[in-house]
Amino acid sequence: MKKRLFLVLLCLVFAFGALSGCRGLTKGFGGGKEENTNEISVLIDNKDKTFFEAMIKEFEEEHAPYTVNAIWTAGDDIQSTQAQKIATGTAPDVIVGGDMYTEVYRRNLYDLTELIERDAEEVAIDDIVPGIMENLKDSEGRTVFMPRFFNISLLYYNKALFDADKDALLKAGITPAPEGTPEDKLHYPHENWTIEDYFKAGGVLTKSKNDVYSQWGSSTVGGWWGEWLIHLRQAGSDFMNDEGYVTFNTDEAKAAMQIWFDKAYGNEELGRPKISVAPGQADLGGFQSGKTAMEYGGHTASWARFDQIEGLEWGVTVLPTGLERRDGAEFSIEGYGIYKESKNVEGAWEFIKFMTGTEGIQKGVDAGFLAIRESAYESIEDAEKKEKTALAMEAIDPNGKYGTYAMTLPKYEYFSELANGIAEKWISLIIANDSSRVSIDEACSRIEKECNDYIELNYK
Amino acid sequence: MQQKIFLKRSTRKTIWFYIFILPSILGFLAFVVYPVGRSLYLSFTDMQLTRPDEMKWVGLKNYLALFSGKDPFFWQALKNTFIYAVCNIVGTLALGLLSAMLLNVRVKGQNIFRTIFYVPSLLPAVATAIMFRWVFDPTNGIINTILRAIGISNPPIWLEGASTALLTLIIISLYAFGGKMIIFLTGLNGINRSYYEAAEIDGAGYWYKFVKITLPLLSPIIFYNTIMGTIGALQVFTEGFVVSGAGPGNSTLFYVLRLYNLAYQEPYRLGQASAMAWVLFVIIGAITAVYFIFSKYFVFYENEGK
Repeated sequence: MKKRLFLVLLCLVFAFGALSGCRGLTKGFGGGKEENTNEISVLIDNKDKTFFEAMIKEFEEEHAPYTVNAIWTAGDDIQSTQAQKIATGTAPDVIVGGDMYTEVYRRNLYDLTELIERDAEEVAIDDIVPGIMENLKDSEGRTVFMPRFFNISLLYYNKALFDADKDALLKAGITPAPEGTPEDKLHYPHENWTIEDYFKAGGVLTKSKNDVYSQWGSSTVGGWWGEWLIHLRQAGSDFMNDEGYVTFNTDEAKAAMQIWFDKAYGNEELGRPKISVAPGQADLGGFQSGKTAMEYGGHTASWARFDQIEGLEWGVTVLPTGLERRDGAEFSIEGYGIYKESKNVEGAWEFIKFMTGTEGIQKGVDAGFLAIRESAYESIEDAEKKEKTALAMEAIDPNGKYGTYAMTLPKYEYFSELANGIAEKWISLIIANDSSRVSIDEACSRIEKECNDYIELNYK
Repeated sequence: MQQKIFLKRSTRKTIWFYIFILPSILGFLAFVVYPVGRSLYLSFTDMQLTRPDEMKWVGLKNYLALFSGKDPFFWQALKNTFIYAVCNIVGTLALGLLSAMLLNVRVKGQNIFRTIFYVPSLLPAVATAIMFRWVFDPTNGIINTILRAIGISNPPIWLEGASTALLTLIIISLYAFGGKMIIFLTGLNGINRSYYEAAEIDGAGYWYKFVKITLPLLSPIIFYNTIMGTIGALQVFTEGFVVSGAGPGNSTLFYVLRLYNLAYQEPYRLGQASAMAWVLFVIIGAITAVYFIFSKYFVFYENEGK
C-alpha cells in the first residue's frame, strides 16, 4: 500500500514537471519575488568591474531612486546566462547584445525608436559615429540596441620588429607607401598593402633556426570566424546568401581558404612564405608577447591591454586588400537594449542613456574603450591614440575613405552555430598537422552541404 | 485540562521515519523527478531559451531530426562518445584489476601504495584536466620533451591534432582508475584463500589460478564496474569541455558536450537538447539491459553455486 502511494506521488510530480512546460508556470517561478521597479538589472562582464562599479555608483547618485543590480558574469558566459534568465522568467531589464543579436533576441527586445525620438537631445544620435545605428535595427526596422562599443578588424603591427628588419622589408618588393609618408615609416604596413604584401613582410619577419621558430610574421586566429570570414569576403564572396543559405563550395571560397592554409604552411607556387603558427607549434605568446610582428584582424578591445605592455610599440592600419577587394573587415557593435517585459522600462532607459550618452562614452574612452561618439573622439588628448581612433572610426564609415570596408556579421540567428560549429570544424582540418588534414576542395564542399542540410533540418 | 495524546510506539517510529526521510524525498522530487518530467515534455517542443513565449508542441520532430542523418554534430558526438567509452571502460577495468592484484600482494607499506594509487581519483576532474593540458602540450609539455630527449624528433601533437586528440583524452581518463581499483581490492579480499590453496596442491600455476578462480569470483565486481563505468563514460563531459573544447575539428565533441552546447549556446535549442538527453537515457538503458541479459553467461555468484 505504502509502495503504491509512493509510486503515485512520484508519478504526480513527474506529470507536474511535464505539464509545467507550459509557459505560465515557468514565468511563475521567475516572477515570484517581490518586484522592485526602481531596480535595474543588467549582466556585466566582471573583467570590467572597476569601470562599471564607478559608473553604477555615479548613476545611482544622479538618478535616485533607481538602483542597479549588476549581475557580474564572465564575459564568455554573458550571452548564455542572459538566455537562461530570459527562459526562466528572470530576464534582466537591460539586455546586452549588439548587431548580431538583433535577430537572436528577436521579439524579446523593446523598440527603442520612440524613446530615442522622445529624448533626442539627450541621446544625440548625430554624435554617434556614422555606420553604427543602422546596424542596431532588427529585421522589422526597429532600433533595439543603443551602442556602447565597437570592433573593427584592422592590421596591427609591432614597430620594433618592423624597424629591426627595415632594410629587408624595403627590399622585399612590397607596394610602396603612399606619397608623403615620412622616411622612418616607409616600411610599416599601410593602406595600399595587398594580401601578397602581407605575405612578403610576414616572410621577412618570420625567424627560425632548425625548424624552431623564435618570431612569427603574423598571428593566426583560429577557433572562430574572425579571420577566415574576412578572407572569404575579400575574395568577393560571403558565408551566407540573401536566402539564408551557406555558399562555400565556390572558387572564391577555395581561394580564400588557400590564403588560410598558406599562412601556416607557405606556398611556393604562389610565392607565399610560411608566416604563421601551424597546429602543434608554439605561438610564442601572440602579438602581445612582442614576438609576433603582425596581428591580422585583432580586436579593438585589446588596445588598452596593448598599451599597458611595457615596450610594446604598436601601430595599426586597415587590412590589406584581399584577392578581389578590401571590403570584408568584421564590424561588430556591443550595445544595450531593454527586455520587452521589463517592469522598469524607464529606469532601464535612464541607465542606457547614462552608459551610452556623451558623458558615459567619454568615461568609457578614458577607461580604454573605443570612442563611438564624435564628441568623445574630439576630447582625446593623446595624439597617437587619437590617430588610431580616427582610423577605426573612418574604417566603419560607409561614406568615408574606405567605403564599405566594414561588414557586419550575417544577421541570421543560426550564423554563429554554423560558422563556429560546422564551418570551423572543416576549416581547422584544412590546416591540420596530422593525418586528419582535408583538402580545401573537400572542406569547402562539406561546409556548404552540411550547413545547408542543417539549415533545412532546423530552420526552414 | 489538556488531554495527552498517546501514540503507539510503532506509529511514533513511523512518523519519525517519514520526518527524517522527508528532506531527501522532497529533494529527490524537486531536483530529480520534476526536472526529468519537464525535460520529457520539452523534448516534444521547439523550446528555445531566448524565445520561451514562442514555444510550441512539435511532436517527434526533435527525435526525427537527430536521426535524420542531416545533423553532423549528433552522429560525430555519438561516435566519439562510444569510442571514448569503450576504451575508457576496458582501460580502467584492466588497470584497476591489474593494480588491485599487485596491491593485494602482502608487502611492506601496502597501504601507502594503495593510497598513492587511489589519490588521483580524488582530484577534481577540472584540475586534472587542466594539468593534463600542460602535460600534453606539443611544444613545452613534459611528454613531448621526454619523447624528443629519447630521439623522437616529430612526436605527436596530442590535443592539437584531430587524429590524436580523442586518444589523448582517453589516455587522460585512464588516470582515474583508482575508484575501480578499490572495488576490485575489496573483491579480491573476499575470495576465500582455500580455493587458491586447493589449486596449488593440484599444481595450478599463477595464470590458471587467475583464470579459473580469480576472474570467476571477481565477475560480479567486474560486472558492477562495467555497468557503472559505462554509465559514467557515456556521460563524459569535463575532458571535452575543459581540455579540448570539442576540437580540433570536433574530434572530441562528446554527446553530453553537444547537448550542453545545443541548450546553452546559440541558438539555445533546449527542446532538441532535451530530446538528446532522452535518447542518451534510452541508449544507456538498452546497454545496461544487454549487460544484464548476458550476465548469466559470464557472471558467477558464489552463493548460487553455478
